[in-house]
Amino acid sequence: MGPKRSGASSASSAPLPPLSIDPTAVLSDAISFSGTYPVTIGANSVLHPRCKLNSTEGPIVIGSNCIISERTQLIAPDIDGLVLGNYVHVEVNCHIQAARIGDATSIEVGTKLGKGSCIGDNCTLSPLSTIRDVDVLPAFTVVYGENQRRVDASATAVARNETMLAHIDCLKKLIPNKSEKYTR
Amino acid sequence: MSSFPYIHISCPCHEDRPQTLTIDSARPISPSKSPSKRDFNFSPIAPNSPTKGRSLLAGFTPSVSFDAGNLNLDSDDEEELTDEDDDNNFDPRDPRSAFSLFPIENLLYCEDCHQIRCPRCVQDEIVCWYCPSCLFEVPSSTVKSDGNRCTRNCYLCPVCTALLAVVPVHHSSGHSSSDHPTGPFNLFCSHCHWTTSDLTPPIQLEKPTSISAQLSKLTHSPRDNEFIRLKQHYAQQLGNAQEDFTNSPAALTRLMGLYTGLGSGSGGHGGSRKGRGVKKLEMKEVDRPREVSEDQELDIIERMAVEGLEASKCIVALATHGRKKADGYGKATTAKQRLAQPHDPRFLSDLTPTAVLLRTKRSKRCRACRHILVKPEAKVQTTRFRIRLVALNYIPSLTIKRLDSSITWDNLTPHKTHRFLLTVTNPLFDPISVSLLTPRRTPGTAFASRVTILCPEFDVGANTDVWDDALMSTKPASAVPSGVKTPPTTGSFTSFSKDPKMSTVYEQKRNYTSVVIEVVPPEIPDTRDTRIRDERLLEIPIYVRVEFEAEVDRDDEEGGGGKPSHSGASGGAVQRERVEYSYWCVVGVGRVGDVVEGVVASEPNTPVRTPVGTPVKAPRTPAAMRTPLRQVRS
Ligand SMILES: [Zn+2]
Ligand SMILES: [Zn+2]
Ligand SMILES: [Zn+2]
Ligand SMILES: [Zn+2]
Repeated sequence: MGPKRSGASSASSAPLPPLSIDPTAVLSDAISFSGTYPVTIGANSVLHPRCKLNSTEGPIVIGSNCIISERTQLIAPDIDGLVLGNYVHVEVNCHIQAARIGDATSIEVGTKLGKGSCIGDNCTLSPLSTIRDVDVLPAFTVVYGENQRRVDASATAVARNETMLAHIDCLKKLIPNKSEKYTR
Repeated sequence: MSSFPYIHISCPCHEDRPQTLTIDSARPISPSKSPSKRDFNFSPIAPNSPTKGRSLLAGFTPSVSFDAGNLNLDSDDEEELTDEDDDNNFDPRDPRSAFSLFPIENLLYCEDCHQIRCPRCVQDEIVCWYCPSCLFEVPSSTVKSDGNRCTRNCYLCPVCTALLAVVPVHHSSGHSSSDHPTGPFNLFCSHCHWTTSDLTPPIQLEKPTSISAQLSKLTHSPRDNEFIRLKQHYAQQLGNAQEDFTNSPAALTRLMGLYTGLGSGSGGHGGSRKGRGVKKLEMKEVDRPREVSEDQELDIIERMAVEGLEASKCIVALATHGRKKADGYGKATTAKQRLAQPHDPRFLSDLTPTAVLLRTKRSKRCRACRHILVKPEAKVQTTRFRIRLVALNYIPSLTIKRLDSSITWDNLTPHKTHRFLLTVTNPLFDPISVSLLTPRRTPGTAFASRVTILCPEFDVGANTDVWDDALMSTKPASAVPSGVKTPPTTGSFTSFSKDPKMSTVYEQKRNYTSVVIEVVPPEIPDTRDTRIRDERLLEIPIYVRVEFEAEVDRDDEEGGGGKPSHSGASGGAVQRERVEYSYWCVVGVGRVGDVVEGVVASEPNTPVRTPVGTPVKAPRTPAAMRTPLRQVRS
């Protein structure tokens, strides 16, 4: 299913899934797409090189102002797909099989999100934390230390979104945009 | 438990026997006969030889049993030898051994004592105190008066122990105002997002600087008053003695006297201090118990009850709605958090930021000769060392590898012959000759494994410049593949390599040599559940003996000691001297697994075994020790 886009000059010979990329999004070189379900990337989002998006089982939707870092895998868990909200920051080397990730959630280095898990808005997952399959994380949860959890009452969400925008501005200057390579 | 394989070296401080080089003290000799040849097998000093004994374990002479056919001994001595040997072998399972075994990276080396020094036999001296967060040095006088925590702006999160940052409470959007943030301010943990506003009552600071001063005003608890009261009381008691109670031995005696009552004029050593009031030396403890305010306790009980109620509500809510705040009892502190804070907080909302503990830079001295072994640069910002005598630069280090990649370290097969490659690396600039001695059966256990080192005596090249090796590449390769019986010819020390004993060396490169060690573990029951110690753990003690010729300065000589004058022997400016030292190390090879069908107990099948007739261990006779091995480099 899905139209074949063999015209793309990407290294992989496999056809790309149907992509809907906002013109303001920045996609770097060497992003690996696999699967046949559609992938949507919102406005002003940045995808680093060598991140992997696997839509074999379902669609992937990335909101606006998101950062997806290197070597991170986004895998749609089922037909309902993987939906990232706005201002989501996914750091390096994460393994994401969640169903939903809420707005302004920060997922730090090496985090594993189990299949079908649901992460609320404004959550923070510190490096190397693990979320079990189908687990639900309420909004403003911080996972820290040895997978301990606490409620974020710091009211720094607005400040963090501003930091995200500044971060994205900087990345846009540094990362050459190759999104036309994937949309051709 | 470290992962396999590991090699730990035993520090000589393990052995508290008096250090003598005579064999008699280490191994009892039957009175009926005079000391035979074997009693001098390991004696490092032969009469009239220019040998300088640097035995690291002098007095702890190893005696190792070998295959009878390979022993160069009178046959009537054999049984006696084997019996006695068990006492002298290093037993890695001995509870005492655990205290002296260290990886070589943790060991230092005293150049003056010529001995390994472990953390137990060095003395630490504090060079400076500093805060690991702001890297400011704290004078020791300040440490004594203000305590061992940073008094500047460094605070740690009480929830997750990450460093706290100062952030304005009210976030002002817009980039221009960030240059001059306006208060009030929070301390904010960027890891778990805890802030001082989470406290009840919230702590908010007026200024982003001098946090310690602001916090001490805001977090003053009744405990602090209690501490001040106790401090005052004891200061008064110690009182008129204005001397420093920490260091001088006289003050210590006095302090002991305060408690034992010896100080009050009685006893022999009380006489000298009659000047200051003898009566005051009787110490009064604070007789008032800690005050417990009933109201406070009731308040705590009430809050806990409310928390409990909320928790049960939350659980119900969680079950029905799914997404609901679920922190019920999560508001209580953990034991770790309670212990970390002086005011014993019961609730997370009572936790206060903790100031960063100071760190020290330390120099280390040899306990025996007081020479400095490690001396860091006094400046906090630099990580360099002025002096650092690490054992790795003095002691040949051992590594072990699998020869057969099918061996799994933590599941060795009983009755199977496991072959490992033992590599000795030489850090010295002189070629060394090494003897590796190991008990034929691992000591200290009822389930002894059979251990054979196929070539226990060999040479290791000098740690020369890598380019020297490259330049000498026209000469025949020094590597000897397994089984090839041709002796290696390395240009630097041909006198050694003519030795037939070098023929079974597995590999020989610039400054390392590898030999094969064979291990046949027996069938061992799994005792981890029933006993404290793990019988299946396979640890092999190996006695490493090293001999080499070193250049010595005349000043470095040990004074006296009946050393025969041999300065005329070499004539030139450079003196070369035979040096030997030795140490025990323990190789943690792995864990023995369950019995595998089809593998039965048998003699180890050893295709590269030493031919019969060649001694696996050729004990050096005193005559051999006397043979001139001195080399003078041109
Ligand atoms: Zn010393
Ligand atoms: Zn020691
Ligand atoms: Zn500091
Ligand atoms: Zn924290």
